[in-house]
Amino acid sequence: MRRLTCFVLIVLLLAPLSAPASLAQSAPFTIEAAAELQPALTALYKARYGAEPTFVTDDGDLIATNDPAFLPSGRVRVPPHFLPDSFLVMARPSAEAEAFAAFAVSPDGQAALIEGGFLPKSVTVTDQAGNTVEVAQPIRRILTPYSIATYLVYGVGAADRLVGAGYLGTRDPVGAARMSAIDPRFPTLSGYTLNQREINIEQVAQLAPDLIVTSARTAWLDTVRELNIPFVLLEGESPELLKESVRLMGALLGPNARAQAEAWIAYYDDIFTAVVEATKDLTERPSVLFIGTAPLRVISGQMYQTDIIAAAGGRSVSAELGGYWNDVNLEQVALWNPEVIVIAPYGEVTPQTLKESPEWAIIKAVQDGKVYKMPSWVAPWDTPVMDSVLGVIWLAQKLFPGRVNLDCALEAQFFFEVFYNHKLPEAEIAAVCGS
Amino acid sequence: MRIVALRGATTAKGSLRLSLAYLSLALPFALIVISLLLGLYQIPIETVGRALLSLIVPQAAEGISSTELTLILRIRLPRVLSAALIGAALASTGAAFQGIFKNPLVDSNLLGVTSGAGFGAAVALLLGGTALAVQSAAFAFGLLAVMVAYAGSRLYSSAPLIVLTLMGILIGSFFTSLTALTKYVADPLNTLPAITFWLLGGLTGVTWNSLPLLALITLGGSAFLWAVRWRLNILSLGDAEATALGMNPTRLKLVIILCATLMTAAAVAVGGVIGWIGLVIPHAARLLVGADHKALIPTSLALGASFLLVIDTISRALLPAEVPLGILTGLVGVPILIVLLRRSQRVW
Amino acid sequence: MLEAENLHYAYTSEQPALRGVSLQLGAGTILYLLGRNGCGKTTLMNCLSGVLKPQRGYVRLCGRDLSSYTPAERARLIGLIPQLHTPAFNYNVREIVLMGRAPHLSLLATPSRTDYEIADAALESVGLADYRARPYTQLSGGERQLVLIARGLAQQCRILLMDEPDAHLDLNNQLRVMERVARLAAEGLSFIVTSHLPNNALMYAHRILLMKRGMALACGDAAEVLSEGLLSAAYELPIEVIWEGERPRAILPRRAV
Repeated sequence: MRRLTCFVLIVLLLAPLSAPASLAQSAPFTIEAAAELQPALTALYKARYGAEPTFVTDDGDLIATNDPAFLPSGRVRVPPHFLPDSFLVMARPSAEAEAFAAFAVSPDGQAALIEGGFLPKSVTVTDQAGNTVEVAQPIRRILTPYSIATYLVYGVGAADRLVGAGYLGTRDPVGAARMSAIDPRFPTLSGYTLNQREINIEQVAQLAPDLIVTSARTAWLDTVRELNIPFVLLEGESPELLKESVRLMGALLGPNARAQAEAWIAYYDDIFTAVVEATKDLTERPSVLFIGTAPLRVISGQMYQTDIIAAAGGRSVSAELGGYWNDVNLEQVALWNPEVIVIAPYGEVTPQTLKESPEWAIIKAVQDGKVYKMPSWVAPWDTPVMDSVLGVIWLAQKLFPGRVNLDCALEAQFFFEVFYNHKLPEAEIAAVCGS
Repeated sequence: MRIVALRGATTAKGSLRLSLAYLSLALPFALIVISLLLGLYQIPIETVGRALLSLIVPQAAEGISSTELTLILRIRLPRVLSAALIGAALASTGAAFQGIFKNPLVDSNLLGVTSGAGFGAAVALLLGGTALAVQSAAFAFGLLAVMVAYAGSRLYSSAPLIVLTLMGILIGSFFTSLTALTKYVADPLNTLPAITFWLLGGLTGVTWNSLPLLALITLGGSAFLWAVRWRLNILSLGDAEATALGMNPTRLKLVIILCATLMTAAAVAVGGVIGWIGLVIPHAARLLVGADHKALIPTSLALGASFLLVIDTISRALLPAEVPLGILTGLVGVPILIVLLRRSQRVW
Repeated sequence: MLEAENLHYAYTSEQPALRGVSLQLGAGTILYLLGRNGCGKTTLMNCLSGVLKPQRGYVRLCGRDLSSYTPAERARLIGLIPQLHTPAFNYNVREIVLMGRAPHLSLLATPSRTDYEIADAALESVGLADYRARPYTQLSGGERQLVLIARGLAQQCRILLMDEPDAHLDLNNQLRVMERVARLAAEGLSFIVTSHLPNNALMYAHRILLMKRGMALACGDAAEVLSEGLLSAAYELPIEVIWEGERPRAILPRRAV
């Protein structure tokens, strides 16, 4: 306690002076680390404080380790990874140690480690359009005109590197307010002409990104090639491809992003396995119709929603359809006669819409009252973003209320805390998975 | 003797054409019955017959499942009827517009009604309106576009056709731009697909709710066009000749434009933008019964209704997913038009 | 039957088209309007047919002011035969002739059997009974002109206004049309004919109105009006009239070298 008071006093006294110099003299925390990690930590520490760190063998304030035994168990945040498989753990609360940990996973920290030869100067990845791209490290400025890519950057914990981004589900004031709560920079980041169809090339030049992440179906790639900015293309319309997208973001954005990506993939696989386990003795899968912005606009078999339904233990009735959203007629719906109808999170269609329609009364799901609107926080849970894991959980709960032992609200709370670094508002946790 | 024989022959040919015109009126009714039998959901003919009969004799419905009954009476019937009405409206107004604008290459969208309606619907969809709101907005903006075009043309003395046509094209383009703007600001996830689908036309969502206004306007409008059909011949000669033949062409044209606009707006409001019918069908009808509007209007009504019935049945009964009608009418209509243009040389 | 008194009409205030023209037309008369392009012939025709309303002066038809007629009433008395034109649609001959029945039918009516008979009779009286089912646009110019006359006959009016019926026609067709007109005039129908061919006026006109710059230069029978002096003044060109005995036989311009 005395040490803390002393530290605060010194900080206050020396405030006019440059911070690293002042802190260097104070040796604010000790680091407990294995010998092989010490050179990298020294490089980091020097970059931040311009001085040698104090290593201890026991009872350090900060523990740096590559021993998986130190990984916290249960559903909590992934510890900051400054090198692949090496991470920092707070032995006791220390603001300065926290700041050091944040620095260690920041682009500046990454740069210091690259300079010291602990991390590669560039990474080469093969993107989901099959292009091999070499990108210099660290990436300090990312542009994500493709909204799915934006959420992936948030999910791997690198949102502070965004300089401009496309968003999804933020058109309405509720979505915009939620996104602002997650990231106060949202209004600035979303304030550009950025999507797969359109981009203001001069604005892009001005934002000077180190990397552009966008969809494989982007219209303006040729103009961006002129600027010599590296770009990576994503195509994540299936669970495997989504995991690949996430892994790709981890590979590009440094060791900590990689750890976050792996953590999410493990979580995603966990959920899939849990549902498979819970429903393995079922011979018949419940038939599900997934509809979009109009009651008769349904998903195709090629859309990610089909995989969500399958992952949740159901069977999409419209899997035979090709392309993107399909408009069908009620005769086709009657032929399918689905047991459950799921309405996409966006759009004006509600379960009420179907329940009030005399025509829809012939459909089993409507007769049984099994028409649900998929909830969403910001990014729609039916799109290939990391949030879709919640879509799987929610749907599995709806399809198998007794069998699947997952609490959607609890999982959502965990998910946003870990992957968005965001605490859902207390009052809304109960309602986040729909009432 | 020769003359008498010839005269007999020509009279026979003239009345043959008229009989053909009136005979063609039976076609849509036959097609309505056939369409009712067709659909993705297999329903036996006998069941369809009994379901229809139950409209008059409720007992006839006994033993039919509620699914089949709903599909026949609440899904197929209103849809088939609206397809027939919309086809009839688009084709007959196309024929009427071609007549009064003395131009065989126009349809009732000439004064911008469809573009206006498209914009109205797009705005309503953008604001998340109900189906009724979308229909009302489409209808209102369709009328508005034509009124603006007409009023604009009155700024120039005596409103010659060319100024009116030009105004229609300008207003149409203006509303098309506004629609593009609406699509530009629309949410790509939510409202944009809805707007796009609407602009391509389709009857997927038609229920009985859509029908009363459409039926009222189409039947009333068709009756009026039917009544003045012979006068269209005279209007097609131009204002000076029509005046010399004892008519007030400006006034009659205004009423016909109003009537055709109401019909088109009602059709577009329910079915979305379905192109080509108003252009192709009058040509086909002319090939069949000649240029005389006395036969042309009934034939256009019948062929228009039949054409859209066939197209819509293809759309709803052939594949699980519906192909937008605007695409099908274009795919089918344009080749037909090219063949007709070749065969007809100068029939119009 | 038709009289016009002191007609004035100006499309714009600087350019008056008619400046005080008067004329009378009796039954069975062929009246020719002659004059240079832009002398006001067409404006005069339009004032007489009711398409334009004279700004000063009046037109009387059967003793009543023309403007007091409804369009249909007027059209039952005066018909217009336009210059050769091609309709947008390919009507057949009978359909074209039937259109003459318009002023006799109510707005919502279509032609009845009687109307068809009248139309057929009109075609017969221009000698085209066999042409009923022929497409109008495939007829020769002279035949089309005759069909339009038949339409005027089906209109059953007393006066037919013909706008340059001899334009674009060869000599044979010109005479074929005008002989028919002369025969119909003999039966009591009146014609007002505009023309750029004074020789035809010489052959067929009962009366001639020679116009210049919106005014009547002269009005009277052929012998009176078609003098070298008046014609030269009207056409602003030296013109020679060749006489055959007592009667003028031909009108020829003289090249001014």
